[in-house]
Amino acid sequence: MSSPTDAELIAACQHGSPERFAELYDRYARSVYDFIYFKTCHRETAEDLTSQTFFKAFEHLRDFDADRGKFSAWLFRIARNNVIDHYRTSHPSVELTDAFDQAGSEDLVARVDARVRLAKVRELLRSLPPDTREILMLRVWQDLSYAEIAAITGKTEAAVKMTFFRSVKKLRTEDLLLALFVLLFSSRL
Amino acid sequence: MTHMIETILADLYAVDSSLKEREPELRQIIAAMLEARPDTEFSEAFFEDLRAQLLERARASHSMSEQKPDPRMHWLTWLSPYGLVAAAFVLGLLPSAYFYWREPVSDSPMVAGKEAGRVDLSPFAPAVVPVDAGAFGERFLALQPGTQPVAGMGGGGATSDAKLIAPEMMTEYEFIYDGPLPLAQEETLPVYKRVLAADGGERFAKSLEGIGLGLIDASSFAGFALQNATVVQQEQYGLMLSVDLASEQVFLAPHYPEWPNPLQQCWANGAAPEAADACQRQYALKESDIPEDGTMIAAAREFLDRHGVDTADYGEPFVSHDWRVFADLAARQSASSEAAPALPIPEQLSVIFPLMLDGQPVYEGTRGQFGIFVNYDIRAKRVAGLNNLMTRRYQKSEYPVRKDEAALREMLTSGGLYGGAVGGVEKRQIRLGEPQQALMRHVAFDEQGMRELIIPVLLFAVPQTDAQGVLYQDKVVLPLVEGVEWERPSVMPMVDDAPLKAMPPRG
Repeated sequence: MSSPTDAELIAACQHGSPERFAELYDRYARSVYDFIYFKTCHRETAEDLTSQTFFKAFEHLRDFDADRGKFSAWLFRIARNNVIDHYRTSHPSVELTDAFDQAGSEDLVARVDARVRLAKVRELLRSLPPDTREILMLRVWQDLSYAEIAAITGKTEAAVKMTFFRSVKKLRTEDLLLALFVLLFSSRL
Repeated sequence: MTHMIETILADLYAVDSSLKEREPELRQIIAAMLEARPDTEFSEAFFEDLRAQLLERARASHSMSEQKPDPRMHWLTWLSPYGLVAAAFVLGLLPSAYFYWREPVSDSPMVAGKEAGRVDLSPFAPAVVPVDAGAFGERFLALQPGTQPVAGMGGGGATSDAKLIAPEMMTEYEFIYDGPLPLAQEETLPVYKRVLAADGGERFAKSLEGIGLGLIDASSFAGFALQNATVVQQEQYGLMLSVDLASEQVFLAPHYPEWPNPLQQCWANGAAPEAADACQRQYALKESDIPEDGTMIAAAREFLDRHGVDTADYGEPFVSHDWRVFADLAARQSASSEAAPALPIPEQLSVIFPLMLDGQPVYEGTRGQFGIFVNYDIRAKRVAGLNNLMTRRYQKSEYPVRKDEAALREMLTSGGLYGGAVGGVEKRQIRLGEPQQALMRHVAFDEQGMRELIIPVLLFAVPQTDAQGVLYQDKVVLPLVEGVEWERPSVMPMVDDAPLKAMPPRG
């Protein structure tokens, strides 16, 4: 017997079996945690924000509309917003979206360096705009599809296509690694 | 990791094939990116702890919704105390099992019935919940020859074993419709699947703890789930109420020991057959005993209203008179053959409150509309029970509309989803009426278990009688969506106009 789909589990939750949310948690806990960790590079923070993400998802599951998108994308968007809120709270004077924007913090840089071992990759991540960096991590490290990434980042397809079309034209002659990433994403268009 | 590298390379080459010239370098870069994936220090202890917290929160919200007082408890006030321990717990369960249907309130975060535009937290609340397209499988229903429900007498749920029909009684029908098939213009249409509460009565089974009539410790058994419960009303014209938690249905029927019936005395011990026959003729119902349809409908409405059954989402009720088709046939055969007895007037007729789903009527099998059947007893002149009162929670999944008109016409010619046969002794052509788009309820029993599906179909009316006799199939059904696997039957599961041995009237 095949396992229930996300939609079936959500319907069960919405119709009197909220304990079945645990099955959704089993399905996505690790990937949501990883997603947050990649943005914070800090275990305790990632755990706190993962907890907040799943409790928020549970409390607002009644608002989830399967017609408007996949549950996974909805969940990752909650996680993403939690990270943004976290940085707004902890660094109200600086516009941060993830740990890599905190290059000036020696403490954090040291921690990131310990995890991201390859200097070239780290430099690439730092050199990218936050939105682009996020897409790279989602695609390469979390193996999410273009459609899922677009849903998570909240961009319209048209806007994303236009952004990356321009990026490809600009970056083709520059660093191969950067071009590689752009191509990776543009291949999903 | 190798698979991921190949996937990314394929993506790249799809965009710019010239990159193949730099494949070794690309492989190194991709491998480096993948290897750079940070160790996220994921903790199993954290995972388990958060899971436990979420489960606790879920159970708390569930419990909160169950403990709300139900304003419809008055439904049960018509049942007098029984003094039975079983009745006590059944009465405690019924509000949860069914009577949460209307206006439940709770501050639980889980909400159903969003399409109805109301906040309804009951696990049994009516709702239609959209799910992914094709969610019920590419081929969600396979109809095998000889296993289809046929001849909806008594609700359409019967199955046919054509081997039981004598070969000389078989007729091969060819159904004719010359007009264009009005196939749906949409690209997709919804298929519905009824869904049941997940716990299957497990939470109700907790009420069994400590109940063993002093004969056994019922609580010592693990994993009990309450499947059904029955209570009876111990007064004149009392009813028997059954709740089937497995299928989430409520049934009402006469508690016959409390129903006076003069026919019972006809067969008292020692009655001579001749006297019994005379007695039966004396008390047999006559055509003039049948009330006006309006009288029966009004009684059914009053009954449902008095007992808190919400019919707001059902169609306009009507009285089923299918029995007249068979009565007419019997009368005709009585005139031509002494062997064929006249059919009696049925003791009960059904007032049908037709089920509507997204504004469309739902049919069942090859005969009649599906809905709540409120049974009116002609002799007692009162409502005697009801069937098909069930939870109405459905998933709705889009499926591609069929455009293969030639294949559909072939199916139509041989009787559609539930009819059709070859090899009958006699061949007859039946000209069909104009089709209509509707929904068809089908209860499937297959390797996926029991599933209740509602499928968009075209219905073609079949004339119920013709010069040669009665037709037990009053509709030819064509599926409007892909996913219904149909195989042309080889044996006709219908009988022709041979003398009837028994007549189970629908009403």
